[in-house]
Amino acid sequence: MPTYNAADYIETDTGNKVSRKSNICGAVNIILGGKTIIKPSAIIRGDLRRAGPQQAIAVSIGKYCMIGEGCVVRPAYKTYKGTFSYYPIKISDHVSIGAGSVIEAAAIGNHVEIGKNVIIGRFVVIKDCVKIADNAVIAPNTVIPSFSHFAGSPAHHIEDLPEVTQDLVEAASKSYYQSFRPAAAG
Amino acid sequence: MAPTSSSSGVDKITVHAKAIVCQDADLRGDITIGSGTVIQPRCTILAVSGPIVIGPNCIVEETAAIVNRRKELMTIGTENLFETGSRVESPSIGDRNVFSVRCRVSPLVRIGSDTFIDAGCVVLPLPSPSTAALISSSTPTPASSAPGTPALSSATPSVPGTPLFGASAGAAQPQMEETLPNRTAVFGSDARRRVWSGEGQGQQRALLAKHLEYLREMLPKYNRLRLN
Repeated sequence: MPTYNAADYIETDTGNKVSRKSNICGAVNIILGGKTIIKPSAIIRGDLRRAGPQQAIAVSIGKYCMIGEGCVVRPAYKTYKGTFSYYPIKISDHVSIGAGSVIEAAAIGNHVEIGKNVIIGRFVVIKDCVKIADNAVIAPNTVIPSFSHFAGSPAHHIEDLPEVTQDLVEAASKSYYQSFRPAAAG
Repeated sequence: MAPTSSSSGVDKITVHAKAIVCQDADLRGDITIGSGTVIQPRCTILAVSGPIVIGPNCIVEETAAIVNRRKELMTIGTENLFETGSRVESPSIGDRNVFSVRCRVSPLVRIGSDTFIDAGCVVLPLPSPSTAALISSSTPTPASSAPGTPALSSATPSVPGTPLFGASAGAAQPQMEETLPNRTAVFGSDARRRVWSGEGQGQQRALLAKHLEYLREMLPKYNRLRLN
Protein backbone atom coordinates (compact mmCIF):
# COMPACT_ATOMS: atom_id res chain seq x y z
CA MET A 1 0.00 0.00 0.00
CA PRO A 2 2.07 2.96 -1.20
CA THR A 3 1.33 5.84 1.12
CA TYR A 4 2.89 9.23 1.21
CA ASN A 5 3.13 12.17 3.49
CA ALA A 6 0.27 14.46 2.52
CA ALA A 7 2.48 17.53 2.80
CA ASP A 8 4.91 16.13 0.22
CA TYR A 9 2.50 16.11 -2.69
CA ILE A 10 0.36 18.71 -4.38
CA GLU A 11 -2.97 17.36 -5.53
CA THR A 12 -4.66 19.21 -8.36
CA ASP A 13 -8.39 19.33 -8.95
CA THR A 14 -8.12 16.81 -11.75
CA GLY A 15 -6.51 14.36 -9.35
CA ASN A 16 -2.87 14.74 -10.39
CA LYS A 17 -0.47 14.16 -7.54
CA VAL A 18 2.78 16.02 -8.06
CA SER A 19 5.58 15.71 -5.54
CA ARG A 20 6.87 18.99 -4.14
CA LYS A 21 10.38 17.64 -4.56
CA SER A 22 10.01 17.06 -8.26
CA ASN A 23 11.49 19.59 -10.65
CA ILE A 24 8.98 20.87 -13.12
CA CYS A 25 10.50 23.43 -15.45
CA GLY A 26 8.15 25.49 -17.53
CA ALA A 27 4.96 24.17 -15.94
CA VAL A 28 2.83 26.30 -18.23
CA ASN A 29 3.88 24.15 -21.17
CA ILE A 30 3.05 20.83 -19.52
CA ILE A 31 -0.29 19.06 -19.63
CA LEU A 32 -1.13 16.33 -17.15
CA GLY A 33 -4.15 14.23 -18.08
CA GLY A 34 -5.55 13.72 -14.62
CA LYS A 35 -4.93 11.13 -11.89
CA THR A 36 -1.25 11.09 -12.76
CA ILE A 37 1.45 10.71 -10.14
CA ILE A 38 4.82 12.43 -10.35
CA LYS A 39 7.28 11.14 -7.80
CA PRO A 40 10.07 13.09 -6.04
CA SER A 41 13.21 14.09 -7.92
CA ALA A 42 11.54 13.63 -11.27
CA ILE A 43 12.50 16.30 -13.77
CA ILE A 44 10.10 17.38 -16.48
CA ARG A 45 11.49 19.94 -18.92
CA GLY A 46 8.56 21.95 -20.06
CA ASP A 47 10.84 24.87 -20.83
CA LEU A 48 12.21 23.17 -23.93
CA ARG A 49 9.29 24.00 -26.17
CA ARG A 50 9.00 24.69 -29.83
CA ALA A 51 10.51 28.07 -30.59
CA GLY A 52 8.11 30.82 -31.51
CA PRO A 53 6.03 33.55 -29.98
CA GLN A 54 2.86 31.52 -29.55
CA GLN A 55 2.01 29.22 -26.66
CA ALA A 56 3.35 25.70 -27.25
CA ILE A 57 2.99 22.53 -25.29
CA ALA A 58 6.29 20.80 -24.62
CA VAL A 59 5.22 17.74 -22.64
CA SER A 60 1.77 16.21 -22.55
CA ILE A 61 1.10 13.30 -20.23
CA GLY A 62 -2.12 11.26 -20.17
CA LYS A 63 -4.20 9.95 -17.30
CA TYR A 64 -3.29 7.32 -14.71
CA CYS A 65 0.38 7.72 -15.50
CA MET A 66 3.17 7.28 -13.01
CA ILE A 67 6.49 9.04 -13.45
CA GLY A 68 8.97 7.34 -11.14
CA GLU A 69 11.58 8.86 -8.86
CA GLY A 70 14.50 10.56 -10.51
CA CYS A 71 13.11 10.27 -14.02
CA VAL A 72 13.95 12.86 -16.62
CA VAL A 73 11.32 13.58 -19.25
CA ARG A 74 12.59 15.98 -21.84
CA PRO A 75 11.62 16.73 -25.43
CA ALA A 76 13.94 15.76 -28.27
CA TYR A 77 15.56 18.25 -30.60
CA LYS A 78 16.75 18.34 -34.16
CA THR A 79 17.36 20.67 -37.03
CA TYR A 80 14.74 20.39 -39.73
CA LYS A 81 15.14 22.37 -42.93
CA GLY A 82 17.64 24.65 -41.30
CA THR A 83 15.55 25.46 -38.23
CA PHE A 84 16.48 24.12 -34.84
CA SER A 85 13.61 23.15 -32.58
CA TYR A 86 12.56 20.95 -29.72
CA TYR A 87 9.63 18.73 -30.63
CA PRO A 88 6.84 18.08 -28.11
CA ILE A 89 6.71 14.75 -26.34
CA LYS A 90 3.33 13.11 -26.01
CA ILE A 91 2.79 10.41 -23.43
CA SER A 92 -0.60 8.72 -23.54
CA ASP A 93 -2.69 7.12 -20.80
CA HIS A 94 -1.77 4.36 -18.35
CA VAL A 95 1.98 4.75 -18.82
CA SER A 96 4.24 3.93 -15.91
CA ILE A 97 7.87 4.97 -16.04
CA GLY A 98 10.28 3.34 -13.62
CA ALA A 99 12.77 5.16 -11.41
CA GLY A 100 15.79 6.80 -12.95
CA SER A 101 14.74 6.54 -16.58
CA VAL A 102 15.57 9.17 -19.15
CA ILE A 103 12.87 9.70 -21.73
CA GLU A 104 13.61 11.72 -24.86
CA ALA A 105 11.03 10.06 -27.04
CA ALA A 106 8.65 11.67 -29.49
CA ALA A 107 5.58 9.70 -28.51
CA ILE A 108 4.61 6.97 -26.09
CA GLY A 109 1.31 5.15 -26.60
CA ASN A 110 -1.25 3.83 -24.13
CA HIS A 111 -0.69 1.04 -21.61
CA VAL A 112 3.11 1.13 -21.72
CA GLU A 113 5.25 -0.09 -18.86
CA ILE A 114 8.78 1.26 -18.81
CA GLY A 115 11.26 -0.22 -16.37
CA LYS A 116 13.92 1.35 -14.19
CA ASN A 117 17.02 3.09 -15.52
CA VAL A 118 15.80 2.88 -19.08
CA ILE A 119 17.22 5.27 -21.62
CA ILE A 120 14.81 6.08 -24.43
CA GLY A 121 16.60 7.84 -27.24
CA ARG A 122 15.51 10.80 -29.33
CA PHE A 123 12.43 10.59 -31.50
CA VAL A 124 11.61 7.04 -30.45
CA VAL A 125 7.98 6.18 -31.08
CA ILE A 126 6.50 3.60 -28.72
CA LYS A 127 3.12 2.23 -29.73
CA ASP A 128 0.42 0.89 -27.39
CA CYS A 129 0.73 -1.99 -24.95
CA VAL A 130 4.52 -2.23 -24.87
CA LYS A 131 6.77 -3.32 -22.06
CA ILE A 132 10.35 -2.06 -21.80
CA ALA A 133 12.55 -4.08 -19.48
CA ASP A 134 14.77 -2.54 -16.80
CA ASN A 135 18.10 -1.04 -17.91
CA ALA A 136 17.19 -1.09 -21.59
CA VAL A 137 18.75 1.46 -23.89
CA ILE A 138 16.58 2.26 -26.88
CA ALA A 139 18.43 3.69 -29.84
CA PRO A 140 17.20 6.99 -31.31
CA ASN A 141 14.49 6.93 -33.96
CA THR A 142 13.35 3.40 -33.10
CA VAL A 143 9.70 2.58 -33.61
CA ILE A 144 8.52 -0.02 -31.11
CA PRO A 145 5.45 -1.90 -32.35
CA SER A 146 2.44 -2.71 -30.21
CA PHE A 147 2.43 -5.68 -27.87
CA SER A 148 6.19 -6.11 -27.83
CA HIS A 149 8.60 -6.58 -24.98
CA PHE A 150 11.95 -4.89 -25.51
CA ALA A 151 15.10 -5.41 -23.50
CA GLY A 152 18.84 -4.98 -23.75
CA SER A 153 21.28 -2.34 -24.79
CA PRO A 154 20.75 -1.59 -27.64
CA ALA A 155 17.20 -2.74 -27.08
CA HIS A 156 15.68 -5.40 -29.27
CA HIS A 157 12.45 -7.32 -29.33
CA ILE A 158 12.50 -10.33 -27.04
CA GLU A 159 8.90 -11.51 -27.00
CA ASP A 160 5.34 -10.66 -27.91
CA LEU A 161 2.89 -9.73 -25.21
CA PRO A 162 -0.57 -11.30 -24.96
CA GLU A 163 -3.68 -9.38 -25.95
CA VAL A 164 -4.80 -9.21 -22.34
CA THR A 165 -1.86 -6.83 -21.62
CA GLN A 166 -4.10 -3.84 -22.22
CA ASP A 167 -6.56 -4.85 -19.51
CA LEU A 168 -3.79 -5.85 -17.13
CA VAL A 169 -1.88 -2.59 -17.45
CA GLU A 170 -5.03 -0.52 -17.22
CA ALA A 171 -6.12 -2.31 -14.07
CA ALA A 172 -2.65 -2.04 -12.55
CA SER A 173 -2.36 1.70 -13.17
CA LYS A 174 -5.84 2.42 -11.82
CA SER A 175 -5.33 0.33 -8.73
CA TYR A 176 -1.93 1.93 -8.11
CA TYR A 177 -3.48 5.36 -8.24
CA GLN A 178 -6.31 4.38 -5.95
CA SER A 179 -4.03 2.84 -3.37
CA PHE A 180 -1.60 5.78 -3.51
CA ARG A 181 -3.06 7.80 -0.71
CA PRO A 182 -1.78 10.02 2.08
CA ALA A 183 -0.74 8.25 5.23
CA ALA A 184 -3.47 8.40 7.86
CA ALA A 185 -3.01 11.43 10.11
CA GLY A 186 -1.84 10.67 13.63
CA MET B 1 24.63 16.84 0.29
CA ALA B 2 27.81 17.13 2.32
CA PRO B 3 29.38 20.59 2.34
CA THR B 4 32.11 21.24 -0.19
CA SER B 5 35.50 19.84 0.68
CA SER B 6 37.50 21.97 -1.76
CA SER B 7 40.94 22.93 -0.62
CA SER B 8 39.99 26.49 0.21
CA GLY B 9 36.64 25.52 1.67
CA VAL B 10 35.02 28.34 -0.26
CA ASP B 11 33.26 28.29 -3.63
CA LYS B 12 35.04 30.41 -6.17
CA ILE B 13 32.93 30.43 -9.26
CA THR B 14 33.93 32.66 -12.15
CA VAL B 15 31.30 32.92 -14.85
CA HIS B 16 31.94 34.76 -18.07
CA ALA B 17 29.48 37.52 -18.81
CA LYS B 18 28.01 35.73 -21.80
CA ALA B 19 27.58 32.35 -20.10
CA ILE B 20 24.17 31.24 -18.84
CA VAL B 21 24.10 29.38 -15.55
CA CYS B 22 20.80 28.35 -14.01
CA GLN B 23 20.30 28.93 -10.34
CA ASP B 24 19.32 25.30 -9.70
CA ALA B 25 22.69 23.99 -10.85
CA ASP B 26 24.89 22.74 -8.05
CA LEU B 27 28.33 24.33 -8.43
CA ARG B 28 30.95 23.78 -5.77
CA GLY B 29 34.60 24.68 -5.55
CA ASP B 30 36.86 26.60 -7.90
CA ILE B 31 35.07 26.68 -11.24
CA THR B 32 35.60 28.88 -14.27
CA ILE B 33 32.93 28.91 -16.94
CA GLY B 34 33.74 30.22 -20.39
CA SER B 35 31.86 32.54 -22.68
CA GLY B 36 28.63 31.31 -24.18
CA THR B 37 28.45 28.12 -22.13
CA VAL B 38 25.00 27.06 -20.97
CA ILE B 39 24.62 25.26 -17.66
CA GLN B 40 21.08 23.87 -17.46
CA PRO B 41 19.12 23.46 -14.23
CA ARG B 42 19.81 20.61 -11.79
CA CYS B 43 23.23 19.64 -13.05
CA THR B 44 26.25 19.22 -10.79
CA ILE B 45 29.75 20.60 -11.18
CA LEU B 46 31.92 19.60 -8.26
CA ALA B 47 35.47 20.92 -8.05
CA VAL B 48 35.91 19.11 -4.76
CA SER B 49 39.68 18.67 -4.76
CA GLY B 50 40.94 20.65 -7.68
CA PRO B 51 39.67 23.41 -9.94
CA ILE B 52 37.64 22.97 -13.11
CA VAL B 53 37.85 25.19 -16.15
CA ILE B 54 35.05 24.85 -18.68
CA GLY B 55 35.65 26.30 -22.11
CA PRO B 56 33.33 28.44 -24.17
CA ASN B 57 30.15 27.22 -25.85
CA CYS B 58 29.64 24.03 -23.87
CA ILE B 59 26.26 22.68 -22.87
CA VAL B 60 25.76 20.85 -19.59
CA GLU B 61 22.30 19.27 -19.36
CA GLU B 62 20.28 18.40 -16.31
CA THR B 63 21.59 15.74 -13.90
CA ALA B 64 24.95 15.72 -15.69
CA ALA B 65 27.86 15.65 -13.26
CA ILE B 66 31.34 17.02 -13.86
CA VAL B 67 33.50 16.06 -10.93
CA ASN B 68 37.18 16.71 -10.22
CA ARG B 69 38.50 14.57 -7.41
CA ARG B 70 42.16 15.16 -8.24
CA LYS B 71 44.27 18.07 -7.08
CA GLU B 72 45.27 18.99 -10.63
CA LEU B 73 43.27 21.33 -12.80
CA MET B 74 40.55 19.74 -14.90
CA THR B 75 40.24 21.43 -18.28
CA ILE B 76 37.31 21.16 -20.61
CA GLY B 77 37.58 22.54 -24.12
CA THR B 78 35.06 24.28 -26.32
CA GLU B 79 31.74 23.11 -27.79
CA ASN B 80 31.32 20.00 -25.66
CA LEU B 81 27.91 18.53 -24.94
CA PHE B 82 27.28 16.79 -21.64
CA GLU B 83 23.89 15.12 -21.91
CA THR B 84 21.44 14.15 -19.20
CA GLY B 85 22.83 11.95 -16.46
CA SER B 86 26.38 11.77 -17.77
CA ARG B 87 29.17 11.66 -15.23
CA VAL B 88 32.59 12.84 -16.36
CA GLU B 89 35.72 12.84 -14.23
CA SER B 90 38.35 12.93 -16.98
CA PRO B 91 41.21 15.33 -16.18
CA SER B 92 41.37 16.86 -19.63
CA ILE B 93 38.77 17.08 -22.34
CA GLY B 94 39.23 18.53 -25.80
CA ASP B 95 36.75 20.19 -28.10
CA ARG B 96 33.50 19.20 -29.76
CA ASN B 97 32.96 16.01 -27.75
CA VAL B 98 29.56 14.52 -27.07
CA PHE B 99 28.94 12.67 -23.81
CA SER B 100 25.59 10.96 -24.29
CA VAL B 101 22.87 10.18 -21.77
CA ARG B 102 24.15 8.49 -18.64
CA CYS B 103 27.65 7.72 -19.86
CA ARG B 104 30.50 7.63 -17.37
CA VAL B 105 34.13 8.55 -17.95
CA SER B 106 36.84 7.43 -15.57
CA PRO B 107 39.33 9.93 -14.12
CA LEU B 108 42.10 7.82 -15.65
CA VAL B 109 41.03 8.57 -19.22
CA ARG B 110 41.93 11.76 -21.06
CA ILE B 111 39.64 12.68 -23.89
CA GLY B 112 40.82 14.32 -27.10
CA SER B 113 38.61 16.15 -29.53
CA ASP B 114 35.63 15.12 -31.61
CA THR B 115 34.94 11.97 -29.61
CA PHE B 116 31.48 10.53 -29.14
CA ILE B 117 30.56 8.47 -26.10
CA ASP B 118 27.30 6.61 -26.59
CA ALA B 119 24.46 6.36 -24.09
CA GLY B 120 25.19 4.37 -20.98
CA CYS B 121 28.80 3.56 -21.88
CA VAL B 122 31.41 3.40 -19.15
CA VAL B 123 34.81 4.53 -20.42
CA LEU B 124 37.65 2.92 -18.52
CA PRO B 125 41.33 2.91 -19.44
CA LEU B 126 42.60 -0.17 -21.22
CA PRO B 127 43.36 -2.75 -20.02
CA SER B 128 40.27 -2.92 -17.90
CA PRO B 129 38.64 -5.95 -16.35
CA SER B 130 36.42 -6.41 -19.37
CA THR B 131 39.36 -6.54 -21.77
CA ALA B 132 41.69 -8.45 -19.47
CA ALA B 133 40.31 -11.72 -20.76
CA LEU B 134 41.22 -10.71 -24.32
CA ILE B 135 44.73 -9.77 -23.29
CA SER B 136 45.28 -13.00 -21.39
CA SER B 137 44.44 -15.03 -24.45
CA SER B 138 47.13 -13.33 -26.56
CA THR B 139 50.01 -12.63 -24.16
CA PRO B 140 51.35 -14.67 -21.24
CA THR B 141 50.89 -13.10 -17.84
CA PRO B 142 54.09 -11.65 -16.33
CA ALA B 143 54.99 -13.34 -13.08
CA SER B 144 55.33 -10.16 -11.09
CA SER B 145 51.91 -8.64 -11.38
CA ALA B 146 51.05 -5.84 -9.02
CA PRO B 147 48.64 -6.88 -6.32
CA GLY B 148 45.14 -5.97 -7.15
CA THR B 149 45.67 -6.58 -10.86
CA PRO B 150 42.53 -8.05 -12.31
CA ALA B 151 43.13 -11.76 -12.53
CA LEU B 152 44.42 -11.97 -16.07
CA SER B 153 44.33 -15.71 -15.98
CA SER B 154 40.76 -15.93 -14.86
CA ALA B 155 38.16 -16.78 -17.41
CA THR B 156 35.60 -14.33 -16.16
CA PRO B 157 35.94 -10.81 -17.52
CA SER B 158 34.66 -9.05 -14.43
CA VAL B 159 36.47 -9.10 -11.14
CA PRO B 160 34.24 -8.56 -8.12
CA GLY B 161 35.64 -6.13 -5.64
CA THR B 162 37.72 -4.16 -8.14
CA PRO B 163 36.62 -0.55 -7.73
CA LEU B 164 35.23 0.80 -10.96
CA PHE B 165 37.30 3.93 -11.04
CA GLY B 166 40.13 2.78 -8.85
CA ALA B 167 43.74 2.76 -9.97
CA SER B 168 44.08 -0.92 -9.30
CA ALA B 169 44.05 -2.14 -12.89
CA GLY B 170 47.79 -1.99 -13.47
CA ALA B 171 50.51 -4.21 -14.80
CA ALA B 172 53.88 -2.49 -14.62
CA GLN B 173 52.81 1.16 -14.69
CA PRO B 174 51.65 2.64 -11.41
CA GLN B 175 49.33 5.02 -13.32
CA MET B 176 46.91 3.47 -15.75
CA GLU B 177 46.12 6.69 -17.56
CA GLU B 178 45.02 6.54 -21.10
CA THR B 179 44.40 9.20 -23.71
CA LEU B 180 41.66 8.51 -26.19
CA PRO B 181 42.71 9.43 -29.73
CA ASN B 182 40.76 12.15 -31.52
CA ARG B 183 37.54 11.10 -33.21
CA THR B 184 37.05 8.01 -31.06
CA ALA B 185 33.52 6.69 -30.82
CA VAL B 186 32.70 4.58 -27.79
CA PHE B 187 29.54 2.55 -28.18
CA GLY B 188 27.69 -0.58 -27.12
CA SER B 189 27.09 -2.06 -23.72
CA ASP B 190 30.69 -3.29 -23.62
CA ALA B 191 32.14 0.13 -24.51
CA ARG B 192 33.75 -0.88 -27.78
CA ARG B 193 35.79 1.78 -29.53
CA ARG B 194 36.44 2.81 -33.04
CA VAL B 195 37.79 5.90 -34.74
CA TRP B 196 35.34 7.59 -37.03
CA SER B 197 36.20 9.35 -40.23
CA GLY B 198 35.19 12.81 -39.15
CA GLU B 199 32.36 13.06 -41.66
CA GLY B 200 29.43 15.07 -40.49
CA GLN B 201 31.56 17.20 -38.21
CA GLY B 202 30.40 20.41 -39.81
CA GLN B 203 26.74 19.46 -39.31
CA GLN B 204 27.40 18.55 -35.71
CA ARG B 205 29.03 21.90 -35.03
CA ALA B 206 26.18 23.73 -36.72
CA LEU B 207 23.64 21.78 -34.66
CA LEU B 208 25.44 22.65 -31.45
CA ALA B 209 25.65 26.30 -32.42
CA LYS B 210 21.91 26.42 -33.08
CA HIS B 211 21.22 24.52 -29.88
CA LEU B 212 23.19 27.10 -27.92
CA GLU B 213 21.35 29.94 -29.61
CA TYR B 214 18.02 28.34 -28.72
CA LEU B 215 19.00 27.74 -25.11
CA ARG B 216 20.31 31.25 -24.62
CA GLU B 217 16.98 32.57 -25.79
CA MET B 218 14.63 30.08 -24.11
CA LEU B 219 16.21 29.17 -20.77
CA PRO B 220 16.01 32.61 -19.16
CA LYS B 221 12.26 32.70 -19.84
CA TYR B 222 11.51 29.70 -17.64
CA ASN B 223 14.44 29.36 -15.26
CA ARG B 224 16.04 31.66 -12.80
CA LEU B 225 19.61 32.43 -13.72
CA ARG B 226 22.49 32.63 -11.34
CA LEU B 227 23.50 36.21 -10.71
CA ASN B 228 27.19 36.91 -10.69
